[in-house]
Amino acid sequence: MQRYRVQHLTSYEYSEAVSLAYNEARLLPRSFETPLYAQHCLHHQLNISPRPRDRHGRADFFGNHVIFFSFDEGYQAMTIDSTSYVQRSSPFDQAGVRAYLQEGLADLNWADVIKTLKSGVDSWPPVQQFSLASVQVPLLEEARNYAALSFDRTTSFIEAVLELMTRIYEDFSYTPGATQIGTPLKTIAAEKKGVCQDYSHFMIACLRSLGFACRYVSGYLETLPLPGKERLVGADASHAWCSVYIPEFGWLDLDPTNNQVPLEQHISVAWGRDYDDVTPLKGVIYSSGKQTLKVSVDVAPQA
Amino acid sequence: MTTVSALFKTYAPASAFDELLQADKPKAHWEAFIREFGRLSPEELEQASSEIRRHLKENGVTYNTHGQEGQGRAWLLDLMPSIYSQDEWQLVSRGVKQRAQLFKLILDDCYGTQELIKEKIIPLELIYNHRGFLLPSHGLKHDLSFYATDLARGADGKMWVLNDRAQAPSGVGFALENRTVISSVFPHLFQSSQVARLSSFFRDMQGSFASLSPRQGGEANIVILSPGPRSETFFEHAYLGSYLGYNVVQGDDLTVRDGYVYLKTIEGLEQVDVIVRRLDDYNCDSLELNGSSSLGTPGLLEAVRRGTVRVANSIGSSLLENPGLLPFLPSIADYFLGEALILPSVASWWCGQAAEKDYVLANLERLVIKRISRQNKRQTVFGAGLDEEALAQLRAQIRAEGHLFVAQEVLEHGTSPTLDGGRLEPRHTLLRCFAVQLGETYSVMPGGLSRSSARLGSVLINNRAGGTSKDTWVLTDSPQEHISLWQEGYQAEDYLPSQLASRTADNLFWVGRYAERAEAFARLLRSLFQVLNELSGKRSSQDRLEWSAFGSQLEALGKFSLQDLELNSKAFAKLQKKLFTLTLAHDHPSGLAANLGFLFAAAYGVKSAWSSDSWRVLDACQDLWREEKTSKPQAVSSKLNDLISLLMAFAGLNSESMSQGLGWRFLDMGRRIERARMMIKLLDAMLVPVFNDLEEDIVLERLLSTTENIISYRRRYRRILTVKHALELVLFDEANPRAVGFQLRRLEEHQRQLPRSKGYTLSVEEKLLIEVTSRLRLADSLSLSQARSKERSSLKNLLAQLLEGLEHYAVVLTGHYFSHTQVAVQLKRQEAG
Repeated sequence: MQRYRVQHLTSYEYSEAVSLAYNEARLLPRSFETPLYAQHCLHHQLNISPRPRDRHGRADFFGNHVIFFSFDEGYQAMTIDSTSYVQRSSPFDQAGVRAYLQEGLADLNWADVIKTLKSGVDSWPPVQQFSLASVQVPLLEEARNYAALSFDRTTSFIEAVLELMTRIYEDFSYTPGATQIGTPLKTIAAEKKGVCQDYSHFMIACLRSLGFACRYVSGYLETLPLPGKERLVGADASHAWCSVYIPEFGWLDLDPTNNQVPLEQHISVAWGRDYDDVTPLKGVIYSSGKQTLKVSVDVAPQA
Repeated sequence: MTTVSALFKTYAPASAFDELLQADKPKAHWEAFIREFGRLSPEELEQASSEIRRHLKENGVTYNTHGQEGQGRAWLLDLMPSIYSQDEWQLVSRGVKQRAQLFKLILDDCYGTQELIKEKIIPLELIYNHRGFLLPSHGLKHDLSFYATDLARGADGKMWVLNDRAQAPSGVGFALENRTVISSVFPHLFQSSQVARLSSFFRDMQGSFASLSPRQGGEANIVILSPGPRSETFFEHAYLGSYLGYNVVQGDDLTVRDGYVYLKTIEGLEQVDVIVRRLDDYNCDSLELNGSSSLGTPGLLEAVRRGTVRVANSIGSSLLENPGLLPFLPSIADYFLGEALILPSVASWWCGQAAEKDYVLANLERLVIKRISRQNKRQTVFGAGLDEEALAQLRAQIRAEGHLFVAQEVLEHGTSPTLDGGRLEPRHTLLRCFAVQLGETYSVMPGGLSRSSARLGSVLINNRAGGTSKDTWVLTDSPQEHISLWQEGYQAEDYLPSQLASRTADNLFWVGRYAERAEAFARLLRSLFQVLNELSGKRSSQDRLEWSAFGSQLEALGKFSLQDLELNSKAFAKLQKKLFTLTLAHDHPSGLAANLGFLFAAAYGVKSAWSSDSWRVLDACQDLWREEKTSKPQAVSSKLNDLISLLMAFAGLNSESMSQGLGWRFLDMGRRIERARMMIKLLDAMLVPVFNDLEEDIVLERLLSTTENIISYRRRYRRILTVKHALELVLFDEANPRAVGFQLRRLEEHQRQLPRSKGYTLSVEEKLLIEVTSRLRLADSLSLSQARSKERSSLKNLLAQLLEGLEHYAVVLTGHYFSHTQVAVQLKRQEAG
């Protein structure tokens, strides 16, 4: 079991005063369990400066926590300090989880997974919605062909999926600045460069194009690992990975940026079809000037 | 006497089903019409046709196809109505009602627990892949207040449904306008036929929208949310706004504060209860929906979620505009209602299923192909119209993404009679029916919008394809009583809703300015052309004198430097050409034609503010300048004369037939500011330079005549022509409507009546206005008229101060009342690592 204090600081500076603004934050971590780990958000605090005129919380279609807030008086800087205390617990380590999955899911044919998904909705909201194309994840032919290489050589679902993750990890080069939010997946598929959301969108496209249900997860990674653990890539900002649905098992998280099955070092905040559904902070502002954005994330293990 | 009854004798439809004839004999419900219509003489018929064209044009009935304000395709209306018997209509009406109910149930289900998907009645992909399924709207209360469906008569005589419209169906205003025109052109014919009236439907519509208001007690504040004057159907938004008494607003006229929606008005923010949506739902809120659209209001969905406002039809209802639903509709009707469909849909195949997809691929060239989501307006493809290559391409698309495609059978259409080129011709007709929600049920309009194809055999019937519309008559057994609550026709100024939206005031202000500017401009040009005609071009002494006056006047236009213009015939020709361009060329950005264009655009933006008389005058101004260019000075002069008369008529209607509320005040303030500006410029150009005595007389005379002051001057000062007297009359006089002083006094009066914040200090614009008026009042006409060296410098200074003060005043005034908000932009988003 591991407890964390996560501080996600976002600040904006505007060259011209903002007269009016509407925002949505998806920064509050969810509490839930999967067959491999459990997560509990013990405490969360969202401090917004200046003080918003209006603030309202709700759950979105996917069950993520959303906080709406708005301003109607001029300001030139905004800071959002999201601090959460989260507990992650898993009985596995990386080696152990692979052994567990390969043994437990040894008999699961990937063809059967697709067949079960096609046969109808047995959960609510339907997991099948995650096998359709979405705004950031078109079902590209390239992704399908790429994925087929892993699925053609074996009938085992778990083997193919883990191999696909490893191939993406190896074929892609982690290159901050090579892509932006909104870089088309087609470009990412061709260049094989980018950051965690590009890795994840591509892996999602691979799995969906074959008929699997796969969702996008936004969250955090442990910034400074405890002695003996490896420091993972993508820890300075929020992180992203994906999660594939396995009938009668549940959701299996996969982090292609680190070639890992997320366990205790990952913290989930929200999930959806792609980045657009879970953007940590979005908004519409009335201002004609330039915006300067600064983000810092600190994930500190608690004793 | 010859009559047009022969028209019916030559009418020979070839299809199996025709609306008018059965076994070569008119059907019973057409007999009365044929009898009455047949009595008309060919002349009367022709007269009626031109009457209709005139009527529609004057009411500004257009269907915009070029994205320009009011420049759309003229609406065409056939003299022959579509006529339905009472029995026939009962079936249609019941069918439409059932369908509306069914679609409301589908809407609630999809945005609720989705039983239809869980029970495998409809496939998940059909909903989740549809562009209209808006996740942020899930779990909210949904409304299908207004529904429309397109019906077509098959060759088998059955009515078939081709389309369902559930987002923001258009056409209801056009249907009403068609009825208004036809019943006024054929009052006798119409009254003798016992046609069901439309007014009760509009009363239901009003009741339906009002019932949505979440606010307890008091009258609901209802607005129509429109994409604006460039939208295809803006005419209808304005028409409905004035007919139902709602403000027509655009997204940035609304603002969300503390979870409530407000309309920006001259008097501050006014809470809005119900939004009648004519904007695509996807574009309604750039926070939660399409972030790249600036047409909506950010925060709107949040307000809907908190229940402080209702949107009709609800945001997300475009989900129902999904032809992929059609094949499943019978099962859905069975599931929800335990009923069979009263009106069948034309045979449709959703290509997300293997067997259906195979059938479609094999029969592509005989089918109509649609996408499940309306991505752009031209999304319907007729397989028969495609070549081999296009067919192959489409097949590949369907193979790859079948779930996005639907194929439909091409309906074998019946025919109905349409007047075309003086003959009665069989054409295919589409009937759009409308329904509004009334409690648990729906009220169906007894009639609808009928549209005919441009030619026989063409099944593409839409406004873009250039078809003709028809009035739709539903006959009844009982005589129809007139519901006096609603006058069927275009409403006058007093129907403007009481709150004055900032945008409306803004537009009215600019209508005032452009109208006045155009008038002053036209007067100046007219006077210049007159001189040009009189000048011989030879260097006579008289010409020389005239030339100086002419030159100073030209300077007032601010577009010529006279130094290099010589008094000779060559220079004349050049000058004349330049003036022609300034007067007539549409591409001259500051010319008269462009100015009229601005006037028309601003006026169209507040279409519902004008009476039909006012609109007719504006329309005539447009027509006058739309005609081919003329190169004869005489012809231009007479054109300018006509224009001035029309603009004066418009001004007269503004002051005589518009209720003198805040809107009128802004219109008049625009006028006053502009008139004062133009007169100051003229005074500066003509009276600041010092001429010799002979020249001065001519200059003064020109000044007085261009500003319409010559008669007043003669009456007051007889034959003594001096600069001092001219200044008193043209600059100072506060009782002379053609003097600068008068304009400033009127502005003061208006300013006092504007809503202002409480407090003991004057606002910036009040101070500015006091400064300008005081400057003028404290000046002295004698010292202003005195000249040192070559100019009257104190006059020059005063005029410059007045002009600057006035322009500053206008900027502050508009900034205060018209709330030009900054542009909304998306917050920069952060990347994940």
